[in-house]
Order: sequence, then structure tokens, then C-alpha cells
Amino acid sequence: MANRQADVAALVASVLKLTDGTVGADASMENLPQWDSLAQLNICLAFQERFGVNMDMQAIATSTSVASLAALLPD
Amino acid sequence: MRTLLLSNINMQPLVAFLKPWDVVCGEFNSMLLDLSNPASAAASPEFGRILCLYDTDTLLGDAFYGEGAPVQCELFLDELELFAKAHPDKVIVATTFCVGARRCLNFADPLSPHSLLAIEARLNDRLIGIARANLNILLFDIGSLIRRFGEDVLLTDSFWYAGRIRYTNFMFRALAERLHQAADAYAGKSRKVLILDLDNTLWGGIVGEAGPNGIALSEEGVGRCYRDFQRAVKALQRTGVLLAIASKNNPADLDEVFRTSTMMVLRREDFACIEVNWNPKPQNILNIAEALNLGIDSFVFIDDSRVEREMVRAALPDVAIPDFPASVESLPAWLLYDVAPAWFGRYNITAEDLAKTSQYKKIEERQKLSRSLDLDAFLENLQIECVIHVDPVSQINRIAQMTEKTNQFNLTTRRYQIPQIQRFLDSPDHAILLLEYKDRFGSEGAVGLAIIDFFESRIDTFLISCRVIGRRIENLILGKVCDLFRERGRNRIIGEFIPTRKNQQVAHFFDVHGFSLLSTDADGRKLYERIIA
Repeated sequence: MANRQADVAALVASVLKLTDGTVGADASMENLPQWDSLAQLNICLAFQERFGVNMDMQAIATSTSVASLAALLPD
Repeated sequence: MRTLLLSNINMQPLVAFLKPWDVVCGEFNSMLLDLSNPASAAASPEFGRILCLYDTDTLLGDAFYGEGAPVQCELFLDELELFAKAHPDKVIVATTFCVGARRCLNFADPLSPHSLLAIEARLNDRLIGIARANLNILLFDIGSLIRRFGEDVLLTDSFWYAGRIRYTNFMFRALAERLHQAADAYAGKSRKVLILDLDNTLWGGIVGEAGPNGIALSEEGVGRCYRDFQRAVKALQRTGVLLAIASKNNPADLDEVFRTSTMMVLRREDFACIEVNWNPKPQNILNIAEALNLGIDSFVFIDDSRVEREMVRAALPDVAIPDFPASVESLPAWLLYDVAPAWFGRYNITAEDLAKTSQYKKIEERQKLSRSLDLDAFLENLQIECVIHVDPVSQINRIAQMTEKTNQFNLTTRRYQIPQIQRFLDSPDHAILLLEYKDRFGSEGAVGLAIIDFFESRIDTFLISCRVIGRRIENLILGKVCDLFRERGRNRIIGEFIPTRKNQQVAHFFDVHGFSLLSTDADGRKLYERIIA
């Protein structure tokens, strides 16, 4: 679980062009100013490509944190 | 140069993939408005390149659902044409129309009066006509990209409804790569020479062991892979790529293959240079560079042997060396999908491209003649005839290509694209001189170029193609340059030399042609003047 969250956090950091390590497992649209609605689309596009998980519209709208994105990954 | 990205869908994710281009995304769905509004960002001099990457299905509007005419598409074409004419100095990259696979009329579509297949063809006909008449439009065939990977991989409905993003990141990545390649091709930036190995590259098996009849090269089975590969190589050659062979083999074996094989698509005369011997390949590649008088940074090397590739890579890092495909059946597709667009991209194919191999082969014949005579007798014996054209509008592609590709005999190495050449042709303050050369061995086409600026009394560009260096044709061009300045009542010409890694052979051109040095700056750039009576 922790590993998956670390992978997602690194991906979010790279999309938002933030230094690796500055995005923590608790990061979300609520607490990261760079994570706006356009960034959310870019994060989801990158997430889908990197982990091979297809996101539906509902998931794109609601998976707005590292934890909720990581929860989409298979065990 | 900054780039403005216009669309009718959300293309913002493409911006990151387009690096190192400096790209700004227009407002959402502002493409038509930006093209038509003279106060828009698109019209601003800040942007030298405008990308019009639209989604055809969306632009079709109701016509996509079989209702009415494709009004927005026609409007886009109107605006594109007006914009291209109003901004000859901008490069406008426009995608072709590409209707998706979803058809409301399903099997009835092709024959229906509302056929999307027919609408697409009609719109593309008109678009191609506009692009032919406006050379600052770079027409980009997005359909070939979508066909290659398929809509299931490239399109996404969830992101479309979540945020008007039609494409997956896979598509954005592939699209950015192809756009970079197309822009390089448009600018004339491509390599010149394809160097090929023989065994397990041009045919299957080892000719030295199996003999000319034992190699795999045929219309069936594995042999068909190699024969189709040769067909694709031959097609590349017809776009102006020079072919050469670097192979460890007995020359007699290759002779016999050329003489006896009915399955060789490539013949001896298709190769500008052949190095078949037992020397190390880096040595043979340097020999090819010397024979063709071209730098190894214009070479691409294809060899199935990883060891040979690594040896060349280590010795000659400027040579491009693509990884060979893992399976032989991928060979023809690999050349056309990957190698050709990456290194031999072409946008316009000129008459010089078509005749390239024969021109380079004549270099060898002339070199033999030159070894037997002194220079004066050699030049007289060649029976050189040159014609100099002033502002030859029909040769605009070749003129831009010469500024992009000439490195050695080039006094200022200024690279110009078609829009800039168009501006020189249109300007009363500039003249373009283009020299066409022929001698008793045949025509070389356009090989000498000068661009002069009457307003500043300055020679902006002066270059000679490397294959005719040493024939004194520069004197003819310089003479004509002086004539034109005299006709304009000018009595002073400013000459300029800008040193590069490759143009040292002309460092003293102005010194030996009656110019006197005015100044040298810290970068080695020299200004000269010559007073003409």
C-alpha cells in the first residue's frame, strides 16, 4: 500500500513539475495549490498511461488525492 | 520562435510533450476566432509558428450526425487561407481532416448523400489545394498516425466528457514526436546518406558461405521480408537519400549477386558509394564520407550486428545508428514507420532530390579526370556551362533547402525556411541569385546561391553545394552580384564571413576576391568591403 502511494506521489510530482519528495502520501487537490482542475486531468492522463488503469468519468472527477488514486490500483 | 497551439478541443496536455518548443495554448475552442481576428495572438509577431490541430468529428457539428453541411469545416478553410496569405512570414501547421470510425449511417455511409467518407475527401481536396498555393502551410497527415495505432489506443471518452480531452497520453506523445519530425522535414533538416550492411540486412544469410544462390531474397517466405525492405530502401532513394554499402565481404561475392540475382531490387547503380572489404567499418564509413565529400553527421547506419553498431557508435558518435528490429518481418515497416520519419523526413521533394544519386556518381568520374590534368586544363575539359537566375520564384523549395543543408562552402550559414525566402523574393530591397550548372558529364541542377541586400549593400548569403566545389563557379556568382549592385547605383559591397565548425575552407574567400577587411569581432565574424567602379 505504502509503495503504491509513493509511486503515485512521484507521478503527481512529475506532472506538477515539483521536486520529487515534496508530494506526500497525504497530498490532494485540497492541500496542493498547483493541483487545479486542469492539473487533475493531466494527472489522470499520466496515471492511466503509467499504471495501465482505465479511469472512467466518475473516477476522474473524484480521485483528487494521492490516496484515492492509489486505491484504484489492483492489489 | 514561439508556437501558438489552436484547436477546437482541449489540447493543453500536448504542450508538455512538445518541448523543447516554446508553446502557448490558445483559449479553448478559439481556433476559428483566432485565425479571423487581426487583433488575436495568432496575428501577433510574437508567434512564428501556429499549430491548427483540430478534431474533425467535433468541427463537423451536425454534419457528423448526418444533418446539414460541414459549415464550420468550410469556414476553417476560408480562415486558414486568408490567414496564410496575410501572414507569409508565419509557418502554419494544419492537420488534415480525419473523420473517426464512428459513423451514424454505418454501412450506408459511403453511398449516402450525407456520406462522411465523401465529406472528408472533399474537405481534404480543398485543404490540399490551399496548402499547395500557400507554401507557409505545413500540411500534417494526422490520419496516418491514427490509422497506425488505432482509435481504441488513441481516443478516450472519459476524458472527453470530463474535460474535452479527446486523446490519451499515448496519442499526445506520438503526435508531438511526429510534429517535431514534420517540422524538421519542412525545414529541410534531414540526413543525406543511408549506409547499409549486406548479410542479414539487405538479404538473409551470409553470401560468403551460402553463395549468391543461397541467400534469402525472394517473393515468398523470409526472402520476401528482405525484398520488401529493399523496395522501401529504393523508395527512400527516390526521395533524394544517397545509398552506400559498408560490409565485410569479398567484393567478388557482391559482384556476383548484382550480376546474377533476379531478386535484388537495389542495383549497383543505386549506390553512390560501395565499400566492401575486410577493413573495420568505421574506416569504411570515413572512406564513404571522403568519396562523397559529406560529413558523417549526415549519415545513418543500418547493420543487423550489434557488435558492428557498437563499434561504429564508439568510433563515430555523429553517425545515427538505429537499433535493428528483433524480428526480420518487422524490417520493412520499421524502416517506414521509424527510421525514415526520424532521419530522412521529407516535406517537399525537389528535382535535385530525384537526380541525387546520379549526380554523386558523376563526382567520381570527374575526380578521375581531375587527377590526370592540372586545374585549368581540367576545368576547360569539363565544358562547364552555367546559368544564373535572379529571383527564380519557382525554385523556392530548392533555395530554402540549400540554405538549410550547405555547410562547407557557406560564408554566413544563415538557415532560411520557405516563408523567409518568399519575403526576399517579394522584397525590392533583396535579390536571390541561383546558379544552375552543367558540364559534359551532365547537369547538377541548382548548386550556387547568393542572397543580396541592396538596402544595406550587403551580401547576406553566399554558398556553393559541396559537390561542385573547386570549379570556380563562385567567381561567376560574385561577378553577377557586382553587376546587380552596379545596376542599382551602388559602389560599395559589404561582405560578411561567419565562422562555423565546417566552413573553414572559405575563411579567406573575401581576402582573395578583392575585398578589404573592415573588422573582426570576438566570435571571429569578419566584415569586408569592396569598392566597385
